[in-house]
Amino acid sequence: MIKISDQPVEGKTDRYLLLILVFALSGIYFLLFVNYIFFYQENRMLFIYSWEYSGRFFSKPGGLLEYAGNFLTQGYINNIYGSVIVAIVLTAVAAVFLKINKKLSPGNSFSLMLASVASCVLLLMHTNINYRIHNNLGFLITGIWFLITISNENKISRIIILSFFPVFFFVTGTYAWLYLGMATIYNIFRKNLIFTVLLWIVAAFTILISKMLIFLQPWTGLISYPLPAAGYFSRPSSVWIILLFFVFYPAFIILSGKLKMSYNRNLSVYSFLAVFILTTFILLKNYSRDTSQVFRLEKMFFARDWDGVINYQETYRNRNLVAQYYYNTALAERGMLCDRMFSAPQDYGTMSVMIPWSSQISMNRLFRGVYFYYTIGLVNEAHRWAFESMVTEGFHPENIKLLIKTNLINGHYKIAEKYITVLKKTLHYKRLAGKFESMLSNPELIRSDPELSERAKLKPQDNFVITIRNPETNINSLLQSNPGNIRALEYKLACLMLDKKSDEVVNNLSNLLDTDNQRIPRHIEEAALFYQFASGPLPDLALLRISGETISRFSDYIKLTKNISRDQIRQGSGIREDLKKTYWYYLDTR
Amino acid sequence: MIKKNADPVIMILIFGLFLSGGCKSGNGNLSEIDREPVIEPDYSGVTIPPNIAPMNFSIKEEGKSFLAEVLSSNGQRILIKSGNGIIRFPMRSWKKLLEGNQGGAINIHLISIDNKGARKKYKPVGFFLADDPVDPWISYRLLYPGYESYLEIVIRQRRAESFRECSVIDNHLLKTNCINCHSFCQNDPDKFLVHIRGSVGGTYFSEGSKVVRRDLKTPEMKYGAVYPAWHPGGKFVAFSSNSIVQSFHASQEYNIEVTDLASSLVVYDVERNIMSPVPEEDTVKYMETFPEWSPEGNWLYYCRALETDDSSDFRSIKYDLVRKAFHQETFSFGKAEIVFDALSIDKSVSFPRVSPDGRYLVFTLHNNGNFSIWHKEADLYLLDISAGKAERMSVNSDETESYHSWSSNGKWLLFSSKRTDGLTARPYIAYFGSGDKVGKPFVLPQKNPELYLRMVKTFNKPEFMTGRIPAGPRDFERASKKEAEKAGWRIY
Repeated sequence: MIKISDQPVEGKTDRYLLLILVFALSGIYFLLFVNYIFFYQENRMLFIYSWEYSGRFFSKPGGLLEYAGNFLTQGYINNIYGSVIVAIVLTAVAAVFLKINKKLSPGNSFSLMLASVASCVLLLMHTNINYRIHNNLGFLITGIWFLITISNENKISRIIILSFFPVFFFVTGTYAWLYLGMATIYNIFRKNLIFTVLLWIVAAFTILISKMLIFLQPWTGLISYPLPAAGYFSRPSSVWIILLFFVFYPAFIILSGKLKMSYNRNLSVYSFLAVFILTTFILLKNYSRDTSQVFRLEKMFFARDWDGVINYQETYRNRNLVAQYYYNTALAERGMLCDRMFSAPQDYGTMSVMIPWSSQISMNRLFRGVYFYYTIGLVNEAHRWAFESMVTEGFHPENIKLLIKTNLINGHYKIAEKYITVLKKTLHYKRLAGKFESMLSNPELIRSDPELSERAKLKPQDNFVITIRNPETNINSLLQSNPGNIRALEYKLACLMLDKKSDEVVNNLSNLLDTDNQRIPRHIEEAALFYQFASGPLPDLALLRISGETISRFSDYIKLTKNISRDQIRQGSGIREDLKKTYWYYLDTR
Repeated sequence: MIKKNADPVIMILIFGLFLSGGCKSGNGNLSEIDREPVIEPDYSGVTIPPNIAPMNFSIKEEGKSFLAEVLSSNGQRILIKSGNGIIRFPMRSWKKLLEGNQGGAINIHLISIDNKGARKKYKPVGFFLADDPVDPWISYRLLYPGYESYLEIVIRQRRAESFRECSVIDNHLLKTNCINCHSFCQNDPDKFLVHIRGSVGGTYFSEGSKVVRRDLKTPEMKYGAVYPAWHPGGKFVAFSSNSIVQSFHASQEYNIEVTDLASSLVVYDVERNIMSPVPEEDTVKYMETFPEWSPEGNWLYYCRALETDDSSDFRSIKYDLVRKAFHQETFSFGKAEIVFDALSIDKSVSFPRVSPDGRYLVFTLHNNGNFSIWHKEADLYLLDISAGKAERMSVNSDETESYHSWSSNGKWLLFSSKRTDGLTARPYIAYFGSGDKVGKPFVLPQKNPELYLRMVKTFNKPEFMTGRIPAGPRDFERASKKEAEKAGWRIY
């Protein structure tokens, strides 16, 4: 419990307390709860140390802000660094707005509360996975520029402020309009209309000259970049509400100062503590364990930690489509798709095995579909998805890795070299680029690399046309082209099981003989037994045999489910855990 | 670092010092290498126009520093020292090398020096200078050699005589619509058109700096106007009207297949904004595409294949080169006659382009279909129209050659080639003295010669222009905000 004593003026201790609270709350929340945001954002961009990369950000106002944000985002590779970066920026926002408050309304009892609102709303915004650090940097820089504006109001300072507005616009883009709004509100209260009018004239000239002479950008780009897209938020108006809050911030602080003339420390401290309590409550309420699990799975998936993905999903049984897709892909990578896929939820049928191409879905989400093609050995199609992603989103670690790998597998070394050159110019992926670079000069390393050589074996032996909207068709084409592709066969059988087509599973059993597989995968055995039980005798399986263990389990399953209702089966009551992880249970419950 | 040609005597002295080890400590042995150095781009033995931009290159040999002594047959000499192997010619010195040197040569003597000061002298690399200048400007579409998605597409113009480059159209200003291919009326920068696909779609006609947006698809047309060809008089544009599908290959040798399901030819009257069909008398249904006029405008060349259906194997679609006589006064066409029977050799023709003198026609020959840019085997062929004889051109490589165009004087061919990496097209220029005198092509020089090595974007449909396009991205943006003028339909 914080002890509060009545003091005539706001004290340093309270301000420090506020700053410590902002730092602690944001740091701890990001470190312990939503660190997946770091993983997500770090994996959606690639900061490249090259003039070409930097040059792109110079071509539009606000680009430098995004560039600075991207530079900082590199630190997100580590959760501690990431949390510290976010916490420092938010704390700096609070510090700057405290200074503004002190300038505008010294001894204001609501000063701490308003400054904490400023940083807490940005903290809340930052918990959206698409809200990036440059957005908070924008608010921070705007706050600093506003502070400079109000700190010295002599003629020369005013001229400097006016003449630097175009530069401020170039650096921050949209935030210049936020500054314009703040400065206007402030000057209305100060009754300094000449400066306001001059500022608006400079702003109007700035945007007109920018549009007509300098930047090849549409009006929308000049007005709203680099704000996050409104569509990223469940309430698209959130961004505009926040902007309005900051625009009217000077009014809030000036008017609140007029409410109560003398400083009341209790009011001051309790009000800002209330903001923190409310923020903490919202943060905890908004926290989604499911989302956190999906990104943890994705992190393991990107690290190719297949066993980690499998065990995690089997433990937490996440119902999210992406989680199930990663689980199935990880199983396929480990050659266990038809042995283990029913050990975790399968709620989406074949959708959780493959994601069909759709130009209506944002590449950001669609991109995950690439792994099906890469896993199955349709390297050209995997390359296409990675390339489409690069075209629409720019380079990010996953698409560039896949571009390099697919080109190496296909023997397109000169193209691979281009991407490797890019990867070499990054901070965290230099070493990986070095590994790929060594493959360029020594293709034997490609043949000896377990991941790449395996893909090369799975590739089609002859050409066919990819069916982009119906990925299942491609499995058949691939199997025709390369009958030895066990992974394609497993995918085919998995799809048939998910579609509950046991008869077709049985009809395809003989294809197992075309592969190196000398045993029937567990779930396929289960499908075969079910078929035998429901429809009749199995075809000749030559050397393949159904194991006694599966036969025994089937017998147990029949016995257990014979005397219980369908609802009880669905609820899983009275069913042994091992029997819930079977194709029979999937058939009964889906 | 450049030591320029202020005084030839001093330059020779410096070069002599370099050779004798005067510049470096160490034993200073000079060994003569009995081959040319590897340079990027490969400019060895190319024929260049007397008004081309500096042919900067980088040396792909081991060495801590390099020295290039450049000698021209007009007696000019420059010396360039480089620490990173990149040889950049100063513009003024380069111009002096070219001035009055038509028909002559430029030889570059290269020396590499290693860490210990040992020097290697290579056989000189030579450029041949043609008598004929090249058109001063080039335009191209710059985009990712992608599949379905696009974000950044620009049409840029570049001065062939320097490195000056600027945007003509930028899809950032066109609501990120797709910018399709552009087409000029006889290399005229004041008269060209471009299709835009998307929310501000239409065909944009640029005349001087005035840009108008038109909707050429009339209700009578099943499909939109696609591949254009300006009639030399500038009054008409022939278009193919195509239904195009795109598919992707599973095999590593191929990427994309772009196929027509149906296509026919139409002619657009630019002044009257009226579209008219090119009559088809044949009972057999054909797909007709890639129109091209002869320089006098009395022949319409195009590619023609038997019409297929959805179930047809794309590999079976083969296009012949065909032409029809055109009578402008009566707006009537003659009967189709086959100019090059590609089907008989199990090949397919695309992109016919007639030389300005009307004697030659260059086309792309490939295995099937009409969209050769994704066909590794696509090569340029030169057809002597009067002799009816076509031959594979010496300018080809193992990768795709396509999208060729002639300079206005007919002495230079500009084409895209994917020879550097198999994926990204680069603009190559080749001297065309006559049918049997074609120079080794060179890639359009860049200020940074390593640009092509790291650039992932592709140079699409490079075209020569006799000057700079006066219209700019903002003109197109303004035009996009106006309603498209709808074309009418008339059957002659």
